[in-house]
Amino acid sequence: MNQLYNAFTLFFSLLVEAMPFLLLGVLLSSALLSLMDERQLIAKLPRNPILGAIIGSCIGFAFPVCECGNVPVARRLILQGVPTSLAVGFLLAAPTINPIVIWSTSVAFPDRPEIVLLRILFSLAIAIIIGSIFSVQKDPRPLLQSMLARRLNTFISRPSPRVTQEKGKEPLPALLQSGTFLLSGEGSPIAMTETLARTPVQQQVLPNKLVQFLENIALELRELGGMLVLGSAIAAGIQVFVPRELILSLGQGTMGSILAMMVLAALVSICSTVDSFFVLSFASTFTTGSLLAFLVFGPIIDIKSVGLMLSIFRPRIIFYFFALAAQLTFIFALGYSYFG
Amino acid sequence: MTKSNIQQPIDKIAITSILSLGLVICLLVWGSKACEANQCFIHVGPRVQDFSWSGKQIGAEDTAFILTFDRPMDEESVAENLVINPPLPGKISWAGRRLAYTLTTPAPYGENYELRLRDAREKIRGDQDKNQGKVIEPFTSQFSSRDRAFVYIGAEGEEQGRLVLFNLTEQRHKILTPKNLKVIDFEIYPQGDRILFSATKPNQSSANNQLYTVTTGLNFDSEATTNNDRESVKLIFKRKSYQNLNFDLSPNGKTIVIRRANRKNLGEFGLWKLEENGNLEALNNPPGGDFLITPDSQSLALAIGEGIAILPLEPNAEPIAFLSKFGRVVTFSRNGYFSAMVNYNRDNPELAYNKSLFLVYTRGGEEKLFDTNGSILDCEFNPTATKLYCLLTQLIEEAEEYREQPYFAGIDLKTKEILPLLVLPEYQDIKISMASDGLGILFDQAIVEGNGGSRIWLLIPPSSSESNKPQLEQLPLAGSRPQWLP
Repeated sequence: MNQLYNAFTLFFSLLVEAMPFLLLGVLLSSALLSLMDERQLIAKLPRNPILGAIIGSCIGFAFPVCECGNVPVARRLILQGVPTSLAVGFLLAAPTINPIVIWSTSVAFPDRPEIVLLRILFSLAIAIIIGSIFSVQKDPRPLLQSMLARRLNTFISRPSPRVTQEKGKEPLPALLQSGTFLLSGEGSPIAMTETLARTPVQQQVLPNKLVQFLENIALELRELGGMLVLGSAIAAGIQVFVPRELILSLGQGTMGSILAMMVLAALVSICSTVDSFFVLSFASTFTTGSLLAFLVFGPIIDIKSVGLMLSIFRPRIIFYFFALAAQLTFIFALGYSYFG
Repeated sequence: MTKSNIQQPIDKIAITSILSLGLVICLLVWGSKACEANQCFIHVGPRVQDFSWSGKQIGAEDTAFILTFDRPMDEESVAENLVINPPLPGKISWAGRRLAYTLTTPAPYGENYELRLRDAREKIRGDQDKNQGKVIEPFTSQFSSRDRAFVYIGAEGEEQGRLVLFNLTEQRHKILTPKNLKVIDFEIYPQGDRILFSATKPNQSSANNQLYTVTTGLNFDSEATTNNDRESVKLIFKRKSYQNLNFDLSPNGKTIVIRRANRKNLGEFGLWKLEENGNLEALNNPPGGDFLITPDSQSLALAIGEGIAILPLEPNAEPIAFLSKFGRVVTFSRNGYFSAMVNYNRDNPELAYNKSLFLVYTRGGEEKLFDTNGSILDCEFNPTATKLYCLLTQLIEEAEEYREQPYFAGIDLKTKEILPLLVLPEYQDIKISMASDGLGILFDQAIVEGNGGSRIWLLIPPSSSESNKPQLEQLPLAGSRPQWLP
């Protein structure tokens, strides 16, 4: 019975901690959808995959979202047609490379600036490496869940009328195209596809934008909120049945302690804005390398966010993320312990 | 998952990357296993991450060092294997991966120390065998303590009337002040970089003294970057309408309190506060007698009427406390916990004409140390504030007249036991100076016979562990008012 209470406490604490950030992420994603013209955005973004990964990793500075808030934003970036390497770089780095997390880490470790610096460097390196690996996949559809891939399919296969116009060709009369159309007052029919959602902002009137903004918030909160609840429940359940003490007692020696802290980071699913205070309680008993492993690996992958990521990517893609991030974290942390 | 899905470019590169990274991990693991037995480029065992005194020159205010390990250590094995040469007794305490070593007494000055740690093991959690923990990478580091040095007012030859810095460790003299200044009194700044002194021009009376500072060429502040070897004398302020009577420098070196009298109206005298920025203001305290700045540098102990007032160092301040029982503050302990004060027993007919020395606790409370019918000339606490050394006099009746016989005594503050150390031949009003590292007491003695002059002496009290006798050494220096550098 006691374990059930513990599980509920953990579940609610994870949820309470993550929900505001998810909401922030959803708000940001909806704002991106409603307020930004994706063509302008994409035109400004670099084509070079490595540069894209670097830029993506640094976007977190502009959008200070936790590892729950980054998922809706990354999802939106992919849907808007942003290069995969950039979206992946953002997904992996944004939870760490943002002013709030850097500030909270430096507050938790005021006398150990190397932890703050190395946390940033390692996270950035991992995000850029994985982002670059993902850049080889030019077509993002095979990475995505089928539903999302279908949405993306729609606008990849159907270029918007405006694009065709820009190329100086005669547009195909709307009525000669197949599909569902909406007849507006001006007489020109509008195709009822996802393209509608991507219609340039300038062409929409304010109430439309607001409705779209609110609808998208509701849609994403429903989809992602559900995943967050599920992820938090699983994370809480595992923590009750596999107590933290057990994981910590396994962590002997340089390598053991790094592995133990990585497993702990994945299990406790604590938000990156506060995880440095959590890990501070281990600072006196664990090696700096293992603390870094916790601080770098936790924001990239935790059980709660795996649930959210499943709403975008196919399971094997998440496995690649997980395996690559874990291997790179382990190599960096061990390298620091041995040669640092 | 369909076949075509797995054959996407991402699958190929991701699987290749995972396998390559796996290989790197295998290499690292293999390397660490191979290096476990012998020393090689990968270091597997624990190591010292930081030693707070590494390469530093320490002083009496450095009471503890911190050794930071990269992981939790087996505390017993560290305590057994930690060696400091020459030995510095102290206590070990732990906070996770950090070891704090607190010295029981300040490190003796003028020494080079070596800290060594080998064969200590990392801590193994759980019930496993302690010896399974990996052995630490041997660690050696050096640090040193400051040279023993003091400053005195020279009495012979070209040193006459000038401040002289004498390095006892290297037996080196250095004259600090110019010939055209005759030094009357001085106090040393806490970092040892400067000396505050009052001096007059030749052929002037001491009433015309001015306050100056002189640099020593030393600096104990490890963060200070400049270490100017040339002495430069600076006049602190020019106010000719007032005469400086005496002064005290605050223990933090930031404030000077000066008693000044108006040259036109000598009845008008009082205390003035001179701050670091050159701001001079009158404190407007009630007229009083002896004064001393307290160890926290925030207030002033001033003898007023028949008591001691503790006043904030602010103009027109009301006393924080008034100790009506005492007539004089002799000294404060460096840690600020205690002070030694004299009760003249004016309200006690049984002890009339006797003086009593009290140990007064800053946080309240007092204890009588002894009564004497002689004088209490000066006292100083040892650095750890476990003993109080005093220069006292004893009243001796000789052929219908009384003579005061000065002597040194050491008082154990725990047992209140008084141990006479040394009898001096002649009564002289002298001040004593206790070394920061507790080595000994410096004092001067005027020579009555022959050409006169004054010599500097060093009294080394017996250490508490051995019951040996105090050692007295006459230093080959002619001068007065010796004061140890911090």
